[in-house]
Amino acid sequence: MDFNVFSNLMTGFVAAGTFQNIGFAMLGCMVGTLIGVLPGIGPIPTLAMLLPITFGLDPLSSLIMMAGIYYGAQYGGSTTSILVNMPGESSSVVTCIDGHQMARRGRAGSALAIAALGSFFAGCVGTIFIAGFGPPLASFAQKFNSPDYFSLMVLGLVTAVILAQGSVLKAVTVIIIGLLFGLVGTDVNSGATRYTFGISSLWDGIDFLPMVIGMFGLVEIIRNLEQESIERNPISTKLRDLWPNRQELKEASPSVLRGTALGSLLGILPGGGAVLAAFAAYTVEKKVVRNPSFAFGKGAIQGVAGPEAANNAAAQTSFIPLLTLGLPSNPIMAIMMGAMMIQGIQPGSAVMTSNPDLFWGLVASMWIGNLMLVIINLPLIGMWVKLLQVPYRLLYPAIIMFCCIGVYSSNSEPSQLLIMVFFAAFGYILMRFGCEPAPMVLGFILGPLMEENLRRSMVLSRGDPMIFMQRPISATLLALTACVVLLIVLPSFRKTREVAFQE
Amino acid sequence: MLRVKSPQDLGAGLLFIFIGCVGLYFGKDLTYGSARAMGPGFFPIWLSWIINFMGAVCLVRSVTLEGDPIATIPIRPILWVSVGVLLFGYLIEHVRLELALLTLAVVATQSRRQTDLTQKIVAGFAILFGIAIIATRVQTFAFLKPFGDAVFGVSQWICLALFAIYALLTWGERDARQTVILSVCMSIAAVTIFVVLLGQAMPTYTADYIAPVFSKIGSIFSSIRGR
Repeated sequence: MDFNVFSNLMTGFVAAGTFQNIGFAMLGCMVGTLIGVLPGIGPIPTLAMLLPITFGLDPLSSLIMMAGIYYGAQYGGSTTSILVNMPGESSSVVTCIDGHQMARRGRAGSALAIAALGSFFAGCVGTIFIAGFGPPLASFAQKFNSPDYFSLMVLGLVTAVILAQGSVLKAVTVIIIGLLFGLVGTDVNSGATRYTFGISSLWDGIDFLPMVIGMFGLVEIIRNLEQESIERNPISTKLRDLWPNRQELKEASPSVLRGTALGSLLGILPGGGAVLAAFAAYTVEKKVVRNPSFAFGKGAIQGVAGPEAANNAAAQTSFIPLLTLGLPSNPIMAIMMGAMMIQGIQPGSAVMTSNPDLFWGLVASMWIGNLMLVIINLPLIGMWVKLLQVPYRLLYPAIIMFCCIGVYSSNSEPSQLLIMVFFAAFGYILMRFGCEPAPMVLGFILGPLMEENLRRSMVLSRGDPMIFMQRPISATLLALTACVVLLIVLPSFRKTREVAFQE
Repeated sequence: MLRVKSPQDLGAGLLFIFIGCVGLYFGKDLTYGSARAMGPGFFPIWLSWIINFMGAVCLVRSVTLEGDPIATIPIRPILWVSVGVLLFGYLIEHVRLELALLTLAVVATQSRRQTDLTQKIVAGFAILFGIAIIATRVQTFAFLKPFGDAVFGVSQWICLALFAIYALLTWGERDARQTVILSVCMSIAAVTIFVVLLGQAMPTYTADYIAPVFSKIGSIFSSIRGR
């Protein structure tokens, strides 16, 4: 395996730099922002709803477009939280606090520009991070055997729980339910059909697309509809006030650096990701910055720059566990993994060796995607603001239409829409009972893999579960898992976690 | 005396136990195998037991810890969104993409408050098609099949009529008028994006009626040039 960062990146830029692929990156960023800007729709539903439009493309273009959509959605989310004080998703909650106050002070443009530039910088660093850390980690991952993979997945699923809001117990159960849903369909080993209830369209398992669109897209729509009329008065901004002044730049740049460093590190951890990074960065900024010109919570630019850089860096580096270990660290990565599997790619250490163009192309396209965001989206802010003024009652039929066409086009079967409605109802009920449905996707994606690795380990050890303790890698991973469980259960950590989510 | 202190936990616990039991009940015919040679039932049964256990813990928590009440579940959005989506799925094979989308838009808008009259008309429409779908898809109701076939035979006219009635009835209100216009634009855009640009195979009127006209014009031109 080649460890030279720059020659690798060059391979990537050659693969991703074709006219067609740049076009798709641009398109992805545009539609991602378009949907991501809509209030109440965060990156996860955006990604889920836009998945179908990437299906017709070849694998690399489709992944590039997906990455574009992801960054676009995230950026759109911060635009909404700054201008309307309505976070689309938990990772933008933090941006809301100071970003909206800045907007009220008339510095909306500056907040948006800092968010975009900070994200771009973080994106560049994140890309280099992936190029540097990816190959060593992947070659390490090749030492992994079935028991190690099983323990890794256990670790990944347990750490994912930290991110879920609300009760840990419920989050764990929701993940296990996801595992069970993942097993529906024909068992590869024995050919037995499991939990198909005699419905032929379930023989191949529950399709990924209707599940995520139902669970995230439709649930989001229904949830927004129940609040009959949402007050939305976006603060208008002109292109003229877009550029931050020197004072602001001076204050923001150290925060961007700190945010980037923190985000890059937190993103690599299994279970880490944009949300965790944003919260952590905000806490750090609050501690580190001694005398901000505006207090935190009153429109401190550091409170925008740090978390925005951190969440983008983490969004970037959370691809590392997915691409090298085949382990999605958060629900968004699970959706990415689903998209890859639909394209016939099994994420994991093999991608880098068997398909270097694809791997490095994707890495390069992340950088291209970030660049696109700055080039295209900053000048277009006026347009996104206009979009914010479109009332929701006009938007939601269009969004539902889009979801339906997407699901139907993937496999022209009415039963797909039935599955979508089922998961919408299921997700909604879970939410009403205080369970966050998002971690379920993680379980759903990992269910079959986990069973397969468990089965192989058991064959290796002739039925002795101690194999997970005897192998050094697996034992380490399980020890880590135990630490995480202890952390979650410990009352002091629990309190900080609750406080973090309340802020 | 047990008192439910946390309704959310109670609901979650019951839901988990329900899922766990479904898992166990429908997994009972699967071969369990042994740890050494896991059968198809091994993993699911274990998972189901864990889910049941977690559900039980939730139930215990619901009577010991104070928690949030369950917010009321609004029926209207869930009902109309689901009905719209399902109608779309079954109608698209009979009335093609454009009309199916318009129908979906009309049904989905019912999830907000509408006038009584449109609500009744749309509900009637949904029930009519609901019966037709059940009649043609479910064996038990096969005796209704002629009725279902008849409904689907003229389904495009029914959908068109529904859309026309909806448009006429609501033209006075600005909101609804905008919805009508937007849904027409949206279905045109959808056809353009999915069928023309992305080349996904879907039944559309555009492809079936308008494309041949274009190709005919094209062939006329080429024959003129050929001469």
